[in-house]
Amino acid sequence: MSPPVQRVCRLHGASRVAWIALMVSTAWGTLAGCSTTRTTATPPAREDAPAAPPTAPAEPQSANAPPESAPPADVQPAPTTNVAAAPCVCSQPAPKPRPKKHKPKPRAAVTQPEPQSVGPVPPPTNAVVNAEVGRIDAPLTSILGKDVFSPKGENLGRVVDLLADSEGRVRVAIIDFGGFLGVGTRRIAVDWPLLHFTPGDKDKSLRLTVTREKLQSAPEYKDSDSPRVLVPPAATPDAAGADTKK
Amino acid sequence: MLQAPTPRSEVEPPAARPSGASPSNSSAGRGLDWFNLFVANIQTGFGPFIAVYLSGQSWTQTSIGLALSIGTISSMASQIPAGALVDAIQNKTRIAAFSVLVFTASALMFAIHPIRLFVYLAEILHGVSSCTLGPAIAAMSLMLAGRMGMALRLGRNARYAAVGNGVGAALMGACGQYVSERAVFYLTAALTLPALFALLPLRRFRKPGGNVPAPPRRPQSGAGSLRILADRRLLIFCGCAMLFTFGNAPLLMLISGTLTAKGSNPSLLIGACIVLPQIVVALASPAVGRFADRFGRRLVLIIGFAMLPVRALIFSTTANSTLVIAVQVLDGIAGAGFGILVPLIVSDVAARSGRFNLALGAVGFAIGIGSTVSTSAAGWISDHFGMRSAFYLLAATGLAAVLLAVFAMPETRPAADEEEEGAR
Repeated sequence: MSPPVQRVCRLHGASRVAWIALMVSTAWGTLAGCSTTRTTATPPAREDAPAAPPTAPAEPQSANAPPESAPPADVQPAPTTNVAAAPCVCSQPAPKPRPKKHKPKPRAAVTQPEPQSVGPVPPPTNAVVNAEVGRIDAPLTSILGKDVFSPKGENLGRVVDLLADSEGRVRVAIIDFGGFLGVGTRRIAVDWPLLHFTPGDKDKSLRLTVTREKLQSAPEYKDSDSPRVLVPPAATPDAAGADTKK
Repeated sequence: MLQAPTPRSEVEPPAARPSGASPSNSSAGRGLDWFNLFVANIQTGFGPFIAVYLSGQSWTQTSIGLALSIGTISSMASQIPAGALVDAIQNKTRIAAFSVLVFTASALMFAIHPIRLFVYLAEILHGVSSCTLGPAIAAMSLMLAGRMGMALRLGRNARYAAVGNGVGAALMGACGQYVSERAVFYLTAALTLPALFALLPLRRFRKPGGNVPAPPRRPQSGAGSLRILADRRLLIFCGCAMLFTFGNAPLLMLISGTLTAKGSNPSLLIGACIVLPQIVVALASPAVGRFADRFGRRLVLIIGFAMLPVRALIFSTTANSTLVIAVQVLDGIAGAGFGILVPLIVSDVAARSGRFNLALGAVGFAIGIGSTVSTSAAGWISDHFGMRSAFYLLAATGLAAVLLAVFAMPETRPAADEEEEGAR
């Protein structure tokens, strides 16, 4: 359906379930964050939280922690903003339960599966849908390779990769920061809701709601299934403390 | 040792003095100076900047990695064959001109239409023609200066190449920042023109003919090649070069990654870390060349290599930006020594065998392996065991290079009688 989603599906496969659950609990604006057409700059994505019923995959281990800080998942049906949050219907394999490899994160809140809240129920992976040519009636913007700017207008680097969760929703953007002629660049993973879009703006269509210093000092992204991610403020204790590599 | 059999009379004709006695010689010398400068300029455009450019063209990381690997593999695979090819072709100037034209083509491919086919093709073309260009420059230097004047000539080459690198980095950095990233490749392509012009006097230089030692006699069979490639001095030097490059190549990458994480203008600092050593190389190279003639290659090699473990150890203890930049001076010293010694030692070993470029290709291959393996190895170690361990590994490799040079590497400077004969 929407091009960004399809692209994302190609980029990265499913990530770890517990991580997803954690992210969902901490960043309620996921659904709004997924929308590439969102135009309002609402820095801490939590403001539009109720409008974003996160849908975690129905996986066995997600049931082991009680809902905590997160509001009930099914407060509201999906917003009608757009289709970007629709589960990926392309070639993505169905989310499969995986053994939990990394540390348990007790605080990860459980969110009840609510597939219909994010759009049409995905058909079985091997089914063929009768797709038709149409238009997405929202302004869209290309993301990969686009420069990202700070609130002050500094160029922070560019988006070089997007990570999606097992449902195909974009969760993390990888930003290539700094360097000189390609020497010394750092790739930093940022939580998707931290990015804001103004599709009309030709030059600065992507804004990141963190300061340059914050981005700069964030840990470097290594290709891994559960990277350390720059997340909105309230979520940092979880995210930063949970995954200490060195 | 093994280089004796060739009669020396035809290799060292009296007119081919390093000092540039004849006017055509001196103008050819200047041509070679400028050629070195512009080639270094051009090569800056083909560096890691390609990854930045392609990511701006919405290339995925996987495709960029593939493109860069294609470039690395094609240059590794063509080092030795390209050396043999340059040996086989008489007119080195023509090879140099052709290689530069290939650079033009590949820069334009990047600039005009960076689709996969063209980018991969451009990477291959650039990889291969770099392998012919390096030996061609060395061969032209040898032609111009003779074996005895080689050290001084290479000092000059290194000086101009360093100026070209430094200016190129500054120019292309500014171009990418203020104009556009695509413009960097147009600039690269444009810079191939002055490089070609710089070759003109060299072409004329060949014409007078008599004073140019046409590539020395060619052994008829592959046996000569094998003998050169099995030369103990060359093999040990290949080992040294590989170890040194293994320790050296990822050092800047690692430290600049740390620099990026702090400070208010890390890009400028990294730029300084790149340009400063080039300034040092430009200043020190002629002296290093003279030093290598007076005190021998081995000493220069050992001093140059010794800079590496020192640098790596200092980097492991500090990321203070001022100190890091200061320590980059050591990189300049090492760079000057290494840059001059690679062609110099190879010319000591192989200049008379007619296999000079083949031997140079072999060293280039060793260097290529060192840098390719070490970048991934250092990245892996720093991911898994921390940055400091990576620095220790690099320091240890540098130390190994020093030890190999101290205990195994023989002096290759031509014997004194030869030298006197050459100097008169």
